[in-house]
Amino acid sequence: MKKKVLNVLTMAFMFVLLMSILNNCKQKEPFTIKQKVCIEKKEFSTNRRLVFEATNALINKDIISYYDAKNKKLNFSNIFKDSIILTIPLNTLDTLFEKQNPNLFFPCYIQNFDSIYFIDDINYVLYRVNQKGEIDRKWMIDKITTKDFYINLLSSFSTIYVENNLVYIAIIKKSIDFLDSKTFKNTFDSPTFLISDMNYDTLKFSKSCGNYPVFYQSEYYHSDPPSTCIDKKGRIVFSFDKDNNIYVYQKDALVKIADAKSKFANKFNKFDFSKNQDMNYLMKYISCEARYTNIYYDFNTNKYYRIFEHAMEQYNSENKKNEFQNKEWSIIILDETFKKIKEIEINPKNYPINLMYFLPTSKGLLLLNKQEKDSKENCYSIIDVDYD
Amino acid sequence: MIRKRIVLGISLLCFSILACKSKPYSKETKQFNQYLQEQFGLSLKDNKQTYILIAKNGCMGCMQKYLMYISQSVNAENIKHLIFISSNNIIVSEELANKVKIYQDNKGELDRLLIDVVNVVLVETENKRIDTIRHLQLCDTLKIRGYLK
Repeated sequence: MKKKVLNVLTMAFMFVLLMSILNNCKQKEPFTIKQKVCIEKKEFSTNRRLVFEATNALINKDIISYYDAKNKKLNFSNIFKDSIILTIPLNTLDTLFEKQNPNLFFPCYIQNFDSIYFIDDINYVLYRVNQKGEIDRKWMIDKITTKDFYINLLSSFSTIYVENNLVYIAIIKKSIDFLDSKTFKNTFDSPTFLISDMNYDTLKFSKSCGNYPVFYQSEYYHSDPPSTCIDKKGRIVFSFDKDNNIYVYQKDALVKIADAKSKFANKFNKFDFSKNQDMNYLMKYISCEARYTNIYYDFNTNKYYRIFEHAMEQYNSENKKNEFQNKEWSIIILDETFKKIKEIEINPKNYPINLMYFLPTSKGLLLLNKQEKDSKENCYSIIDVDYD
Repeated sequence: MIRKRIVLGISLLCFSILACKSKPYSKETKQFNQYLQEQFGLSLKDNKQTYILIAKNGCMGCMQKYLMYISQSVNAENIKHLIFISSNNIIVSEELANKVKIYQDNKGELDRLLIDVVNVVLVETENKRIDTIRHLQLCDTLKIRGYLK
């Protein structure tokens, strides 16, 4: 009898021990989930939404903005309350744009609710709209100082910044010819933003910032323009896709180069320029290669977050193509002096890659959870990063 | 005696190389056939067929152009041998959708196949096997009519 009890006890002990080992082996998330929020999905006008979303980080008071194309209104709502707190009618502007500008992109910068800037890249005009939706000032964009550049509307990041009576506009140099590999050197020997004084009715761009890293002129990576963010001090931070450093500009002066390398970053593979018409090669390169993407500034904690997408095999062991949103990614966290303080890996099975990656809020970082295909709501986790 | 051994050795080596070398597209054929069965209850046939695979991802402008040429090339003769599969629910024009039956892949499994479906891909099959895979490029648009003959 004693022996039987002993056997049972031993088995129980072994079971507890095994469970404890298994539990320790299980990969833990490098953060704590504070809260889960679910918000009903809304119908947005697709292309215009991209531009508006990109400005959300600038408002950073737990408010998101979106454009209601049907009713021609710009709505602001609180993320956590899911209620519209302000609506700005944009009838005047929208009618103007519909008539003159066939482009669906609507780059804008929301400095505050009463100063919202829109750029018309066809007619080269910058508008400022107030809370009532009225155009209270407009500037002509000088065509001479901008003649070598396109306004970068296709950037998934901010196109305009307004700070201390200066306007910064994202640009791309016109020189690239995808059939001639010699031309890319010229394209990347260029700034990515032009700067103009706003005191006059015509914006003349005599200054610039955000120059591409020098090695981009000799090594081709099929790079997108950089991701940028603006901080409390009006500094613009540039993150280039294949550069471990980030670059900090105060107006047109480069004031800091900081090491913001991911621990998962190895040598970046170059893009074979001769294959730039081969869509299969291009798609493989874009989906599978490692790269830095968005950079955010958190007004609440005074930290900077840089996203790194890890390299991924094109096919899994079952010979099925790996899906882009399941690419592993991490967030590199920098303090106010741009010193790297932490890098957290995000499990794409729980938090797949999406356009915004995450949003800094007053309650913590807001990460979009994996969605069921037919789900009517988006669910988010608010996470607290463990800095110890 | 030595010569015999050498000949035997070379023969064995050639045989091993030939045996090891699998037929072209064998992996792709197996996976594609399984995909057709699981998703649509179809299978590869003995007679010549061309599968037109329309991906979810790619260059939208290019895809529209390819599909426009494909739509113009469909006729009473070749339509019997063409099978359209799409995981993209916005790119197919009404004109094409009215002309041919399009198998819709809502799960996007098409985009994960070894065939590497990007933009529009033409897969020619015969004797239950994949013969040719054509990843259409912009310079191919004028050849599309010929491919679909």
